[in-house]
Amino acid sequence: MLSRLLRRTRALFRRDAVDRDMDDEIRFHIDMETEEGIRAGLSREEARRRALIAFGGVQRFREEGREARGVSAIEDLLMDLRYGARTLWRSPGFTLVALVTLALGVGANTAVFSVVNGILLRPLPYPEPESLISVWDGGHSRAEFTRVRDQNQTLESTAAYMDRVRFSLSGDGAPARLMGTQATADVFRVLRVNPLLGRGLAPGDDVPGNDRVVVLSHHLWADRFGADSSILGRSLDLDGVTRAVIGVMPRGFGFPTPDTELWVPLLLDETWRGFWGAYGHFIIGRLKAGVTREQVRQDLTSIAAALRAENPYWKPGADYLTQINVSPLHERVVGGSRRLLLVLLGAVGMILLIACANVANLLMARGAARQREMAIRATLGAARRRIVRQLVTESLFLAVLGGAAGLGLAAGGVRVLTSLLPPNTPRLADIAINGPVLAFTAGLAILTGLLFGVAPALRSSGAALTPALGEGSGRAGSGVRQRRLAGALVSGEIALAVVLAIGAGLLIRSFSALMRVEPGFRTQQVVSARISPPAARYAGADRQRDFYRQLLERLEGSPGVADAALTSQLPFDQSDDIMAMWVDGYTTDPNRLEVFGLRHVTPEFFRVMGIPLLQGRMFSGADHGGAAAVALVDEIAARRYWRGKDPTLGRIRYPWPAWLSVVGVVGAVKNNDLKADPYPVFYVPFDQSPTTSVALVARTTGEPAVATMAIRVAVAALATDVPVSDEQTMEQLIGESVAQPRFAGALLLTFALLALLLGAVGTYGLMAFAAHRRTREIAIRMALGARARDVLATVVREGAVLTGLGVGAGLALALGLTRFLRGLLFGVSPTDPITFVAVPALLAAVALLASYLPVRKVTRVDPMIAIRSE
Amino acid sequence: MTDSRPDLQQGTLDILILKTLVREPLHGWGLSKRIRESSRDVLQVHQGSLYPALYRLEDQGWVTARWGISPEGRRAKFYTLTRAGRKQLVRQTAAWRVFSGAVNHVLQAT
Repeated sequence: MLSRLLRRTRALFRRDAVDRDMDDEIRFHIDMETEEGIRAGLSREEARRRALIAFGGVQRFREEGREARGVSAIEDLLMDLRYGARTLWRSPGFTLVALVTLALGVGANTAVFSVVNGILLRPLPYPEPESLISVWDGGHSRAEFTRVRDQNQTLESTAAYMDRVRFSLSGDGAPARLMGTQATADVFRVLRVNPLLGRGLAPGDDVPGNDRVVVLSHHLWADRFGADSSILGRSLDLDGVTRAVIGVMPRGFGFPTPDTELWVPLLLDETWRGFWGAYGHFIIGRLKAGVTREQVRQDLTSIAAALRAENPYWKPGADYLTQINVSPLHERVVGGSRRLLLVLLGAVGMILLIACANVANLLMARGAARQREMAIRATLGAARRRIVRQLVTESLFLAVLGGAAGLGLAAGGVRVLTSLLPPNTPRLADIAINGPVLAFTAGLAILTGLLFGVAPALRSSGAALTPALGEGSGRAGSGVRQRRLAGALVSGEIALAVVLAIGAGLLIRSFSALMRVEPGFRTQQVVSARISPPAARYAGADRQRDFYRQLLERLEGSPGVADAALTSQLPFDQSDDIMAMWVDGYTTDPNRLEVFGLRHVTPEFFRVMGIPLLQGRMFSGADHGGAAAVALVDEIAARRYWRGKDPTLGRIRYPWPAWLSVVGVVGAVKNNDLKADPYPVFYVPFDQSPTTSVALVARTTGEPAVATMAIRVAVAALATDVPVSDEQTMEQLIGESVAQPRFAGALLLTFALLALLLGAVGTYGLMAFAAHRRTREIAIRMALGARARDVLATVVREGAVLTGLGVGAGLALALGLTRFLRGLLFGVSPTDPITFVAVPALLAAVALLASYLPVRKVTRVDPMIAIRSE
Repeated sequence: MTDSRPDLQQGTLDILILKTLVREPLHGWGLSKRIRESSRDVLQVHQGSLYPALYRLEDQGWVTARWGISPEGRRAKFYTLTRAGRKQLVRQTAAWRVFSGAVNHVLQAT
């Protein structure tokens, strides 16, 4: 074996010697044969001629001889590559078109794959990520969590957390608003992540009195505290509460979201065991060895049955027992982006197929032109296998070049994609062109090369030799079968382009339907900002009333601000303030609670936001802290709870005894999502129940930036420890809520345009080639008196048939595929007739134009010149 | 060569070469002549297949090649059967017997 390898390697490097060796041997053989011929009575010349004939193709003998010696494999590859590079260099037009097509196809795929890889495929960056699970039934209370933690048999460790809790940091420079997570002490133990400095949360930290601690993210530590390693033990003023820094997490750690800046303990002592409300907690856990998720689900379901027995009013209405969902943690983190990403991956896959079909057609057209070259090589004795191998090597070479160019495009594409992706997309930071992505691209390039290279190679090498040599370049080898294959490829391209364009059309129509939804409030000329006084220092209703009264007074007459108001919750800020209420007279069951959205607002809120009064009266200055408690309800609540009765005679009550008289009905407002039906909402006067943190909304007279600056100035003049954050116009807020549909629509539109362009280029190319091939025929027909129109019609008919087949197949495919878009569509059906008619019509028009143009050119050529040209 | 003499398939040619080399080392031309003679002119070895076959056998280590002087006093390349080649010949002969026996059987069956 070793000697064989040595011999081959030596042969490779001593190629000349080996060839000389072979030459000598051939010469000896022919000499001997000749001499025998002479002995048999032939002349020397005749004997030699016969010896040569008997020997057969010398070239072939040499090739086969070398191949048998194993020299050829590597050497042939090098030779083919050299030859391929020369051929490509000699036809720059073909090479450029093929390379650009491939680069677009591979580039788009690489870019989308790196997003898919970062978000969906890469495991979570925690040890043994597959054993991490998330429990979810719509939200858990601390009472539930303590029982799950103490009674489960299937989980090694569990933790509960509440994410996106905002904290006001004051002292140490300008006050800031930070994104935090409250978590039970075990959270880092479940994830198995160790802090970079100090320690993480630990058991005991979640007991009242010991809970004044905080763990910082690497980003916050580096950004705000200059990566000061003496930070441990330092006191921070968070919401007016002093917390000691006990640890700093490593760079890149952000649980549950990458923008989390700090972690504080979630209180969990005996008093919280009875806290059944506040469902907003998530539960995560790590499986015991050998336990399946289904076993956990059964385990938790039996715990839930016990919970229901303990407290029958817990989660009224929800069929909790059947709804426990135990999913991999990865799924919870990735959330709703999965479907969109898979759709995009499918879309770029189609683009690559179109690109392959285009290049395959180009190669076949070129193969027809190279028929003579192949025929000569075959006659000289080159084996068919050898010719195919060379053609495939050329294709692979092309594919690898295209792939490399595509990688360059993808580097830019990934940057564009990540900037277009909604900022709350999970794991944005994990998106990069890394090892797996490179491997994907390399595999893709090779697959592409084989895909578009093999069929044309077999076609051009397999054609009959003699006719090819005899006939010259023009029509040779462009047999019926090849034309049929080329036609099928073009029809396939058109079909895929139709599918992509229909998908894009649906998403765009869906987006425009979304943008037509009325949110129920004024979106223009309104800015908002969150004002967050540290809770501990601004405790007490009087303190809060006082602070905000002064703030609103200061803002009156401020530059850029026409009108200002407060609300405890802003629509579309992606949070929910929900309260369970008794509605007087709606039910007789004293335990039956109705879920409302709760907003604490100043009287001007409805004026600033343009929310209309439908019945009764608005709040006024008379509804102050000392006056009778009042509330406004929206039209949804009015319809649901006071059907046929006068809501302004009704009253509602918190779970504690304090009736609120309903004094009016206001218009409904979309909350957080234009797609979803809003839930009933009630409003209470801010003066009657003030809160610490509010959103300030202001109607602006000019640039929004002027108004937000005025708000900052007013707050800073009042207090140095109150951060102002999240300054946004209402348009921006709504815009963020539709970021994903906009992203989907824009991207699919880009892909569809790309597909249309490639499809048009492919059709044009094929028809141009076909027209060129038939130049002589057309010219003869025209010379015989056929009218240009008739000739055009015959040839264009060919294009029309291909287009028709393609559009038809595309429609059928789209009907089958658009249901995968269902979760992404709003207000438009996956088989929307307008899209399904308009888009194919547009594509058919483009394809027909692409097949008409090259033919028209041919009919304009002088017949005599055309006939002579061959 | 439009006569009725059968064209040799690769595996058959290998076995003929190995068998012919058992007696003595030969050069390519001598080998083709010897095969033709011992088959009483029935088997015609195409030189275009002979040399590739020889190189393949050499590559597999069943024959070795050495330059020497032919009986006519010319420089020629002589092929010698190796020990591995002998074993291969035994194996291939056995396989051939089974194969040709089977073919005969089929031909006689009808």
